Amino acid sequence: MYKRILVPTDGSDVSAVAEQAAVAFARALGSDIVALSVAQSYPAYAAAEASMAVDPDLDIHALRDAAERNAARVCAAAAAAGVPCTALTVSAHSPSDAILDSAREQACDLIFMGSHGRRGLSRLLAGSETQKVLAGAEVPVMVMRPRPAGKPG
Amino acid sequence: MFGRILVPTDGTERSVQALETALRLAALSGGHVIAVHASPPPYVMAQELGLAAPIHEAWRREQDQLGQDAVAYVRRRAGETGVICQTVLAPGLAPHEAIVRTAREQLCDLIVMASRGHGGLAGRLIGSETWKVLSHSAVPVLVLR
Repeated sequence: MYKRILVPTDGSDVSAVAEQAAVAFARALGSDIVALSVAQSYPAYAAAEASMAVDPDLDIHALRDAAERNAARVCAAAAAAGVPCTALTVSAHSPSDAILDSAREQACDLIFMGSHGRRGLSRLLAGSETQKVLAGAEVPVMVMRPRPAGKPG
Repeated sequence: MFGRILVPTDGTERSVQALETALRLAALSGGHVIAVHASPPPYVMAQELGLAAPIHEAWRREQDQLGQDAVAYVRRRAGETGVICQTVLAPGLAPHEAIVRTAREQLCDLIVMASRGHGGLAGRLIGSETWKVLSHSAVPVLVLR
């Protein structure tokens, strides 16, 4: 039904929920996973958190390493479930653009993501990157919701 | 995978894609489909218009008929695809309220819906009801193009 599922990850709790669900979903449907991690380069990060002091550790190499670890973690979970997985790390200013571009380039027919990421301000409202993906996606988007507070698992 | 899949139907072709996707997912996972039809509350209270009561009645009957037709179509397609289905009529609720409430009451674990329904501005990429469902749903939402 869906052959190739794009799973963006940013290492947040919400995206971890989406990753687990995506692996289970891909296993049930016999789909492949493309695990995408976006190393968000500095200008957009600085603009988004303008009040933050400049962090010298926040260079693009560290960001890229962290991004690669996130994508590798998803692929490890997929491998454990017997789901074929491709890890993909890209550097971009805009995560939503990277997600939309990757979905097209990797010929994914479903995007599977959390309703908000690392910087989601509210557990109620869909995050801005998720909103942009929903507005721009040419394929269906599975939007996972965070677990209610105090209800782990 | 998903045991109870909620799909809103508005009786138009736009909701057919969501229904077919929900039926396929349900067939794959041995799950059930729960279809909900919401007919919105009237914009103007009948009493305020004096003579409008008969008009309100006629409008209500038409909405009821639309809902019956919509869920009858769902039941027929579910029967043809061998998926167990339940249908819910939710008159007087905005679509997003009907969807979120029914999903909660029917213990659904997935909502499948179009990115926009028949209402709203033509230029909008994502319908306002879809946004509201995304914001209020406790379960995953599969948004179709």
